[in-house]
Amino acid sequence: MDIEKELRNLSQEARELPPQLNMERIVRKTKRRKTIHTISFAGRSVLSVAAGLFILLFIGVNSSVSIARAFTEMPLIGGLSESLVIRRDIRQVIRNREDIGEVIGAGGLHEVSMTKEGKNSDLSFTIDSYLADESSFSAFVRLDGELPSDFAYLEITNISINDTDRVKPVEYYNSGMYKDIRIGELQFMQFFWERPSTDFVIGFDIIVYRFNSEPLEESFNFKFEDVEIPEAKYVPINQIFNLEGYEILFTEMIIAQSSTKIIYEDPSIYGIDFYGFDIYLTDSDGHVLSDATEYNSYSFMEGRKNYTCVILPTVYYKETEDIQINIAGASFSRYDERILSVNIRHKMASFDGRTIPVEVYERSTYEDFGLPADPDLYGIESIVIFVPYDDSMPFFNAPYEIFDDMNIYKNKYDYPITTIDGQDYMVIQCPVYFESNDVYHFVAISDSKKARYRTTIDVDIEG
Amino acid sequence: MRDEEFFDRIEKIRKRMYSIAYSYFYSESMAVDMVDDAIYRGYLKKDTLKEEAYFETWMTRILLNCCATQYKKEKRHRSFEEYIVEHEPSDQPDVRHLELKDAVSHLPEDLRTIISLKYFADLTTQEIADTLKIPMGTVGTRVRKALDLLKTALGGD
Repeated sequence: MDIEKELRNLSQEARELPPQLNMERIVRKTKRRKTIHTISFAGRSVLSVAAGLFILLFIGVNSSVSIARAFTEMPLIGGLSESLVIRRDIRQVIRNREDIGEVIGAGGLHEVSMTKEGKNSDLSFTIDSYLADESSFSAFVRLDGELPSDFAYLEITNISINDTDRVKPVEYYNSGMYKDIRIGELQFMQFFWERPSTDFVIGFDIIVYRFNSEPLEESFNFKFEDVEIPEAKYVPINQIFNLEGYEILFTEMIIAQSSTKIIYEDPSIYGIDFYGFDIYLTDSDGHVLSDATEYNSYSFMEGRKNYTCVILPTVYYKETEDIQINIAGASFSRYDERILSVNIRHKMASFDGRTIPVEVYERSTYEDFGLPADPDLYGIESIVIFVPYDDSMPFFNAPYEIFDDMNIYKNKYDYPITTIDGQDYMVIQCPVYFESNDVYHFVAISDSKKARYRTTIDVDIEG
Repeated sequence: MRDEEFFDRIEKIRKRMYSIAYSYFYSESMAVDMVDDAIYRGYLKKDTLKEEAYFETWMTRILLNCCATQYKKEKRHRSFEEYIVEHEPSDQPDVRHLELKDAVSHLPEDLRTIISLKYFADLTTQEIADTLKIPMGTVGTRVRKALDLLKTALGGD
């Protein structure tokens, strides 16, 4: 067996550069990319949310392998019931989405056939029909028309929702790219929203890339008014899950027609860098109502506490009285709650109530002091901080509460300790883009681990 | 660094970036997303790049960070040891192709990175050493260790 040969064969899969990585698109996308705006629709929910977030699922008839795989991995309770009266083209698009099929079968589909003509091409965009509940807004859409003869590919991007019911408009903006678009074929899009809105404008940008000329761009906006949103069921949970000695409070379950949300306190506040639960739902007979392998989630703040909301696609189980939340695993790292804070301007650090003078060298790197280079900071302007170190300190290895910049959560190794004139120093190389008002915070984080559980939380949804 | 120069230099390494990202996820769309993300982050931070001669290495590091972080988010936390215990090698050629992907994806991060850079990005040992700032000897050691683990996983001798 020649593993090297097999690896080289495997690498051939990546030999052809996808058309999306042509330079014209890269330049355009990079320069136009915007920060995702957060939204805050006025409250219907029990919880008031500081920052909401939409998450988009997109499924076409020729949906991507990854998305198709994701859904086929879900243990569905059964195929779409043949007795449901669902249009053939819609049934084909949602063939793996029993949750959506049930909602449609129950009369939740609103056929609107709203069409907008493009201004720069022969393309038109149609919202055929939609479903809405307190968890998500879903639309069946279709792009029609003639593509230019030198058509390369097209993508849908810059999807936005503006709530027109608010004095100060709030916006959802998604700069993502959805390329599995086929002319004349129905596509399914699902937006999970934190706050449902009855009056809003949803916008889509279509970019048609061409081999020999500038891309064509179209923007399509659709106004929705008085959207009927069936009420979800809000069920308090108020039960504790014990995660490695830390108590995690599960607060609430929100059962909407197409999905179920479960809200729990974010355990990161307890000294854990938490990545998520493996979580699924069963009914009182043990039937699986959702699956642990694929779900969306978002975090929000209520008061001074952080919460996480997981969204599990579920078939509406309004007849069920008892639900079990099953927790099969949790992934996390621990971090030492003791924080080392370094004030660069005043050249002082604080730790465990002590104030410690530090030395700060701007525009420096480890290599300037004969220390091994930090590969993550190679070539990046940085400062070097010498903190007098003693055995009472842990081995710090991670910046703390630094905004998720470049995704450096954790160094691969502890900051080095060096001895100068008999004094030990912990030496921290810090990139200058960690702009935190001159104060840098550091903690010690353990390697990530996954703990297995077989814990169930019983929820009486009839109260 | 001016925008024009940034994108000129991106053009020269985009193929390599795609290959590296692909080796993490074996998905074209995912790899494109990762390359997009890395380019955007590099674009935002290009003025903090101290020495422009290190641009390629710097972008590769950013990409590796993006891929590793996304990888972590996908919760593929099963260790290689667990993978070996639970895995039954197959003799079917098509299945072996998938098994190899699966085995590579379960390698420890430092070994997976080496495999990505050597076999997918076609970097030389010197280039890998420069990118990861580790001695060339360490590159060789990690390559051998990764290959040994893969051989074990796939039921080799």
